[in-house]
Amino acid sequence: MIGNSTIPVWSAPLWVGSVLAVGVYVVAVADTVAQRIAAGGTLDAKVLVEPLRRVALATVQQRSVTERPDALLAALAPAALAGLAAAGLSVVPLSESWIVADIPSGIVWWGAVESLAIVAVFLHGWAPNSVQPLIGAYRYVADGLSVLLLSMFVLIGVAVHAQSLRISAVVADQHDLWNVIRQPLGLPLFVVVALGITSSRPLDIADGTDLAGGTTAETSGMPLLLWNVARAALLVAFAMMGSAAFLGGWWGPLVPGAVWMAIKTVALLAVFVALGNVVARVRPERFVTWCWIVLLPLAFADLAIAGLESL
Amino acid sequence: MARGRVPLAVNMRCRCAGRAEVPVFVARGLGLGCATAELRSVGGVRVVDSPRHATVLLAAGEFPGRMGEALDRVHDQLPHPRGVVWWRPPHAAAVPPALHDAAVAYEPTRVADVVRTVHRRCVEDQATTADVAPDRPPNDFAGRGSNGQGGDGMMGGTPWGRPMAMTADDRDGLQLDRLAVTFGPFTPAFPPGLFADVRLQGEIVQAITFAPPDADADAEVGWAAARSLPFSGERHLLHVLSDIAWLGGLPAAARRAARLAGSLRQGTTSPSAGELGRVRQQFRRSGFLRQWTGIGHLDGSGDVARRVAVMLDPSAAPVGDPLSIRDMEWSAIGRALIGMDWSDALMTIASLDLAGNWSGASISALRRL
Repeated sequence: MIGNSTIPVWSAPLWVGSVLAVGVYVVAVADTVAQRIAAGGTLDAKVLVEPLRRVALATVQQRSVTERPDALLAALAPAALAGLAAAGLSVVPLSESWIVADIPSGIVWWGAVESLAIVAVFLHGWAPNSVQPLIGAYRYVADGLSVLLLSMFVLIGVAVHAQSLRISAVVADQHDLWNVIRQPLGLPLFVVVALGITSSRPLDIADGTDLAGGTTAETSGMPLLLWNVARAALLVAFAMMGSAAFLGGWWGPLVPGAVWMAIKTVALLAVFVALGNVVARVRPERFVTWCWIVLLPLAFADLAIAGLESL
Repeated sequence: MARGRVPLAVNMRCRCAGRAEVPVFVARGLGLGCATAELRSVGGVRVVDSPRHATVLLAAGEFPGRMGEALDRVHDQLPHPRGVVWWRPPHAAAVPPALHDAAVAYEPTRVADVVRTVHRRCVEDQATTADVAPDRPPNDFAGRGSNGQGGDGMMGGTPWGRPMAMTADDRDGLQLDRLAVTFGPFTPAFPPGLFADVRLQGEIVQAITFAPPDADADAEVGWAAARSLPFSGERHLLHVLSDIAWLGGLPAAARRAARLAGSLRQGTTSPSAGELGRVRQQFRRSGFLRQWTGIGHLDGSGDVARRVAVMLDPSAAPVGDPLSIRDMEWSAIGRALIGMDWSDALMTIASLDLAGNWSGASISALRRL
């Protein structure tokens, strides 16, 4: 046990891995469903098995090797990103008693996860020694650094009212009013952060179609599958963190707290996926401008609102 | 390995993989610039952006000269097991080496079926095509030279046959590596057959030289086939909109436009205003036009947003076809791209619809709706 958690440390990988695996599957299905609905297509039961078929296909495909790649970084990047997703998830409570690591500085831990995720994505673009992956990596760093600042101010805002950096305390503080009401700017900004850090549409700066897949342009087979799974896992972790920080976490009537947490996480994932299928990709240059000129002042305003509410 | 000796789990895995949506990389040759958009409208097939992600290479059209060599290189980039399908125009003459063992389809309605069949054969039976080109650098290592060539810390020159990036002033007066790269001829934003020698600093275009395909041959081959089909003007514009939507991060709009174009192939009625309206609505509500305002401005045709807006609503264009770019010189297009981000340059080229020699015929066709 770490902190106030009731999960034995030896079982933590199993729990975290299971939650992420289910979440990644939900993301894959939700994205397919959203895309078909937005395209005016039909839905059938195949959308439920298609993710599994793609996994099988990835295991059959050869892994591509470019000329003089950085093999260590190529292997490290997806593992690092998946590990960061698990690390981030470990400090987010699923219920009042279910949390892997209820550390006093959970918000700071989460910030470190976001920072290192930027490094992992950059390494993934650097490793193949190819033009388009490297372009994807560099422009992702430009946008990622801009988005990191938003995250810090937004999350400090929720910590200010809770008077704690412990994420379970942030959730407990929302017993009477969720932070999405208290600090209305917080959740929309956090959604931007989530999409930006995970390089998900419409902020798929690192892996966009305009760069032939960007950092994944030279990747195939199992490495490609692992990278996409790691990105989806990080998106799931962001959804859980958003549910805990802004949507009241485990609070809710009638059903157990863990069920409410799952419902809110799925709802937030649905928002992420819907935005990716409705909004056009934001041009990297324009996104950097928006971050610094529009979103960052909004984050300051959000922090000011949090401070005033705490007085 | 005989099928009877394959472990059951492996066999089930391959069969499961064989039923997945087929990841296809489309190499558009001369005469079938619509191939990518056509395939997006079909179920069971997933068009991918990189040959590394595909199990099937769909070569559509003709591949004369340099295009054939490029096709060979793209073919070898597909991971094993891989297959090749050639969407072959009836009059095609040259057969590049990559297509010697290709399954052939002549009709657009048959292409998807052949692709799926080839995919299942590759994955379930582990059938694959051999590499066409040898996997070695274009230049052999010739030893160390008297001036440090071939040694550690070498700067400049063409080590292993590839030009090494050297530093040069960038737009801010800093020194940044300038990399020489050739894009095309199958870059999705380009018209089929277009090569572009680009010098990039980061992703900023510093210089670009186009080597276009034979414009007359492409127009004749492409339009002769297209004009024989109903609603060719409307279908062409919908294909272009599909490609632009895909490039701009709107896969749903891309599929909707492609499906609408596909429904017109054998149709007897023009697309309804409602169906087109939904395509327009997706573009407008997605913020696409706002994103691209002020980008890719070219004299006589406006910026990317204006060109796409006219494709979406031709009634917005003044009568008299002022947006024709048939007479625009490649050098003028190249000059306009200098200083742009590479992704902005791609969208600018895509919005010019150079493949279709976009003309008032398409615009007036949609004006009737």
